[in-house]
Amino acid sequence: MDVWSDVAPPVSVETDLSGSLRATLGKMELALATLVDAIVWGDEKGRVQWCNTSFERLLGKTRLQILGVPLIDLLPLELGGKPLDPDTHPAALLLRFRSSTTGFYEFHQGGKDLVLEVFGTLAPMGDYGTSEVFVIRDVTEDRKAQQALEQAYAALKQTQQELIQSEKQAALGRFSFGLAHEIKNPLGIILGWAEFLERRTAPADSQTREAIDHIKHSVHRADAIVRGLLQFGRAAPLQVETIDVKEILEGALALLKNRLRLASIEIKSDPPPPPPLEVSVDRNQIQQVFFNILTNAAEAMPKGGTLAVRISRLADSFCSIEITDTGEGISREHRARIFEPFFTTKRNQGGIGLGLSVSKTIVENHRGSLHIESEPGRGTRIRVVLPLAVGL
Amino acid sequence: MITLEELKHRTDVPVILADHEGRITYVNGPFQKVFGWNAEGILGQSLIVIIPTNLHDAHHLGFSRFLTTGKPTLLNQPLKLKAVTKDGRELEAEHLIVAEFQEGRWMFGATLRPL
Repeated sequence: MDVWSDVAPPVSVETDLSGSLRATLGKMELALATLVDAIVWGDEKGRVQWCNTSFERLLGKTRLQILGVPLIDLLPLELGGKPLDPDTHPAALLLRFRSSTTGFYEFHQGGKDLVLEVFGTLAPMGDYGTSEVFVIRDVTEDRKAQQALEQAYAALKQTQQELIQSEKQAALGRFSFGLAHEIKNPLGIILGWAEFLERRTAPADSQTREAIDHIKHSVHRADAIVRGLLQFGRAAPLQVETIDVKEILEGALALLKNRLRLASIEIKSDPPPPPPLEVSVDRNQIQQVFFNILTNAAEAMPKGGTLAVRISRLADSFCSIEITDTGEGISREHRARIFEPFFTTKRNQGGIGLGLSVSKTIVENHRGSLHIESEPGRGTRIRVVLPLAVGL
Repeated sequence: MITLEELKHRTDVPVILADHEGRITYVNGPFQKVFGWNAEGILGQSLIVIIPTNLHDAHHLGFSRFLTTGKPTLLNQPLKLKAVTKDGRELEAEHLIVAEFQEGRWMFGATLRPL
């Protein structure tokens, strides 16, 4: 029998496709194969009948491994890190509620870690039953970009807040500087006249002498505030010299030596290993910073204690000076305000609340930073980080 | 590569041939025996009759794409696939499908070794 010349019996209309329809289908298949989105459809029981190349790639399987297998088994999805149970898989939802569904799910398979947008819709095909058609889009990169954008926006907001804050500080500094200048002269005049009166008062007139003492004491206090303000708002250029940071710290300690001894405070010093850690700084200003921190530490230990100072190299180009006390520590509530000008917990003991804010400004003017760790009841550690002199 | 002419003379394995429209033009004895179809009943029918319902869409689209592009994706390699018997059962068989371009048209042939 010559098979090619056989006259074929009539063809069942249902199973045959016209040539033009085949051409259309061929072009559709080609077009669908170029899509980045994965497309898959299945029968009324959710078994896959067709998929495009992108779906094969997503699963890392060939079409022959995919066809006929239920989509629920092929595409295990997770929501918030938990695997979906079969009832809540989009393929099951579509069959149960018979209306379109869209959702975002996580997909972890074959080393992939993706976020997928799964869109499902029903295609009623009359006598040929109903198909469920899914379009699956990998939105992992979109999600990452969105998250990065949100983070960048939050950082921008934060920077803006800091900028407003530092602008306020700068304005306050300029204002303080002007104010301090204006007050310094009248204070000098008051003190001069108080001393004039003191000389003119008979030694026996104790009441007047006491009044003059009060005036002088208040003038000295006002003068201390004014000096602090001038330092806070100082616009003068730094008198920079290159010097071993240990020398500056020892200078500050020497100024306080007697006071610490009287208060039963023991100094523990850990000398840094050579070579000397040299910094390019305004020596007086940095010594003022150490002096302020050491004074605070001493005041935190009214019943005595231990003051530990430690200098160390930090990475390649920084040094760290740690000053640790065993005092009362700083409460959480006070921590937030500790660098605010005029914030003090020692107003009754003569504190004016400029020591730390001035110190922070000075350190930051030297491109350094100032850090605080504190535990109420156990003590406080202040760390000053300064850049090492260039060339070391 | 095996030719359609060679396929037609195989008697050790079920063989089926089809034309460019996917119409069945030849089945050998083993095919009739294994799958229960007789030649008179199946010749001229579409290949769809031996393809499980679930694979109809994939067949239509894949077959159409091959006719459009001439680029095979499933030819000349052993494939584990199901084929439908005369009484509607689905039998798994190792398919090896080949195509030949004859007188401006594609012709197809396959061996279906039952598994």
